[in-house]
Amino acid sequence: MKNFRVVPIVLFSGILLFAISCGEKSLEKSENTKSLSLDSVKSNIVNVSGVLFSIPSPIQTAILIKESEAEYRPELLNDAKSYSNYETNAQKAMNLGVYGTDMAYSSLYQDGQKALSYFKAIDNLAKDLGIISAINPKLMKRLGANADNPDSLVYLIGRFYEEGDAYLKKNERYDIASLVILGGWIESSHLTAQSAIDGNKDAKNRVAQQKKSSSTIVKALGITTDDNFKKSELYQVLDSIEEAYANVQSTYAFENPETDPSKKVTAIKSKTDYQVSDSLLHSIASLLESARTKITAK
Amino acid sequence: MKRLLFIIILAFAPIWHLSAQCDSTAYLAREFMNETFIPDGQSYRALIFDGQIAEFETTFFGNSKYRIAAYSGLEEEQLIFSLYDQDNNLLFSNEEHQNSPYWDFEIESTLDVRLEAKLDKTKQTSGCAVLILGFEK
Repeated sequence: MKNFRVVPIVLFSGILLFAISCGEKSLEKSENTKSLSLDSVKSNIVNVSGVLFSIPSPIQTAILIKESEAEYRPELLNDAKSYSNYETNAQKAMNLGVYGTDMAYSSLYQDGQKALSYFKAIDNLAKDLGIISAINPKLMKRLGANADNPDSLVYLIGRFYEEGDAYLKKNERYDIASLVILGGWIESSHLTAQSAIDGNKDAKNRVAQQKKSSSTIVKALGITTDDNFKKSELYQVLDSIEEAYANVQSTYAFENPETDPSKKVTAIKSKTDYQVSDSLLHSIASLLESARTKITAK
Repeated sequence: MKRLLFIIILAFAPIWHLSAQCDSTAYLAREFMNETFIPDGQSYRALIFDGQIAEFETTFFGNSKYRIAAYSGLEEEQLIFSLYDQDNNLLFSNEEHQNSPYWDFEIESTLDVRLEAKLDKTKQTSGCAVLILGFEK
């Protein structure tokens, strides 16, 4: 493992504050500094939250489902009217992620009316969570106006969640930021798994390809959320999802990439082959559904 | 007491300055993400000091095209970013291309990658690093 150090804004400030308040040396400098990537966070000095992690976009997965010509399944989506029933910030955050996926999914299938209903739910939850003030008003206006225009909408949703994520992290609300991402990931994975069970091969492959994400999200939540969340049934299910994903097999073969400097593009030629049995697929799908039910429960 | 407060403010001033700079840096980084590329919905920011490296792992899906925009401070070409595969093979580094603030990646087959970012020490010794990840629809 390479030894580096990453100092996200809040973490660094927190460490310095701790050092000042306790009068202890909390951060040792050495030639071989340590990184603060997700895998290497083991600090007992501060509540380490400013960690960098990445989950592939749920919108990208929704696009894959649409492009694989899977049937539109509106009955799988969360009820847009349910937003008013979510009371805790955790519920609101997770369902903010869920609704973003549902808005993209329904818009991609040209269900503009449903997409617009999700916009209203997103707008309300973002207000409740105090995110809306950080979002460019023009962006919000365009988001609402493009519910039936999927080409623009998917870009605007991506911008909305990126700006919201930046605001939450800037304000040290790492738990809420992680829960929004969790909601989006679970919803898109659930939709993909249901398509896979219906026999969609592209969706089956995409389910398998989420192996890395399943462990990343559990680690991120382990760092950013409080003990109550980690004792919840939902967290146990997420643990089970990660365990199930450990049985997905993959083989990786490196190939030299090809770079074209004039176009500023590199073609990555390496290949990964994933193997997931039907029984394992059903197990993962069932666990995803269980997690999703707990997230969307009123 | 006032002296202590003054010392604390003085000690934190550079950090607050860098922190405030992040929004401006993110604004500049977004300029490289035109509407062709859909942001992945996450914000990757870190305060980096001399010799430090920010890193995260993610999955790039096959048959996709991604764009990584990388910016530090308020000037272009101050941030070096490198992409590695799961076996630590270097797939790309913008250091070989004048620290280009963005680069595109055509992905044939899904793979797990690690993205590292560090300051170009010859241009900047500390700053807010912002990375934006987008994919083409």
